[in-house]
Amino acid sequence: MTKKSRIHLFVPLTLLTALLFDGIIASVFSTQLYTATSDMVSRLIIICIVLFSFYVDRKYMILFGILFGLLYDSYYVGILGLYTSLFPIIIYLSDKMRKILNPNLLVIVMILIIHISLIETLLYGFYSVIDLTAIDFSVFLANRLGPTLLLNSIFLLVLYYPVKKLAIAIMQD
Amino acid sequence: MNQFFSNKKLIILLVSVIVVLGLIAVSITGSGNVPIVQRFTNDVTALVSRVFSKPANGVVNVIDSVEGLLDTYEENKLLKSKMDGLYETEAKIAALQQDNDKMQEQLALTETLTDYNSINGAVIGRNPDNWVDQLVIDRGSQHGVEVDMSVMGGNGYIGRIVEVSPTSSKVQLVTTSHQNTGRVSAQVVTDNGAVHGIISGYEAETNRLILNQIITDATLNEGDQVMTSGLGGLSPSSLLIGTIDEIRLDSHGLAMEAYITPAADMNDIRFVTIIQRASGSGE
Repeated sequence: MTKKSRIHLFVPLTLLTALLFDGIIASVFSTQLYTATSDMVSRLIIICIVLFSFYVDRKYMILFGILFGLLYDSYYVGILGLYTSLFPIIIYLSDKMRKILNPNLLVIVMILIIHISLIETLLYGFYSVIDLTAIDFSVFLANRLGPTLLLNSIFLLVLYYPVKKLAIAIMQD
Repeated sequence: MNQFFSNKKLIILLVSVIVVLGLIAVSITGSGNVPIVQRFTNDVTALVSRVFSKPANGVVNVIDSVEGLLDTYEENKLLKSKMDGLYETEAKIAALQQDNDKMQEQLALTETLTDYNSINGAVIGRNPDNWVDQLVIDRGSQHGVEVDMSVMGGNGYIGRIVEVSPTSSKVQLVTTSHQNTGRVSAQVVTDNGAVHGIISGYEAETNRLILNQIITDATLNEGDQVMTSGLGGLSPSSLLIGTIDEIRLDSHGLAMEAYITPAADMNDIRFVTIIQRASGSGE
């Protein structure tokens, strides 16, 4: 199998699995994840996107980012254009960081924290503008951003080695 | 001008911003009938999702049934105590039903607001970012699901259908703090007749729905059951929403509002019943 066909096969498969598992985790564990004082949002797809964009070329990743952003919007949210723009943004940022940083676990955790904070804050801004939420920014920080970062850092610890191994296997010549 | 915004990049950026804003605008104002491409994509994704969600639901069911076994003794005692009253109520309902049928025949009423057909479905996913509380279910237009149908989960009303694809659809929960849609016309049946109101909000901290626009001279009690009234034109009547927990004057002092404990568990929804109103939807 050539490198190109491996990229075209395994990267989308992993991203699709991550996307679907986000939804299944949200529906099966909803009692535990969404309580009155904390909303933990599972972001497996962002973890995978961040990890992949450290190894796979930017041109492929931007394309997958747009495609899976559209899929996420269409399948879960119903408003096209939200994740479609957010995924390429984080891929672009990851690519910029990749040039100056070494991809070890600590660095990836920090990058993930930055990306998820960015995404959640932009989404919060969007939903406040269109009146779909009325919560305060401080409430958002405490009840939503904090728990979400915690949950996804734990997910990253579990996913780091398998996804990294996969990315390296895909990219070897 | 630095290198970052060379001309080509700037143009690409501008075009994509315009495209994204256009997409957002079109899909926000859309009516739930999405383009065929989107319907197809949603269905294919839902199909793949079922492969994962079936085993997940299976595991949860096993855990639930083990928990259920542990509670059996207590539950049995409780049920036995309720059993005695049940036979009596059953007989009464049968008699009333007969009476009702006869009277409807006399009045030549063929369809009433209480009549409905139901479609059962399973939840195969939930919108992970919880800003809009939406579920994806495995029933679609092929099974007769249409936009705006009411959805019941467990014991009570949970929301309505907002988007339909051939074999999957999206349910928006009544807990979404959406300003325009998602309002439900509801009624409380009391001794002095029905009291009407509108479910128009959700208080996340206490997990209660807010029923407002109730007339101030209505006499409501805590524990009264709140049901859909069917007068909104979308849902049939007498679907249980919840029970009244607290009653107070609203912030303007012009009407009363009641806080309702939902009958359905809004977080633990795995199976749903889609309610198809029998009489014309009045559109």
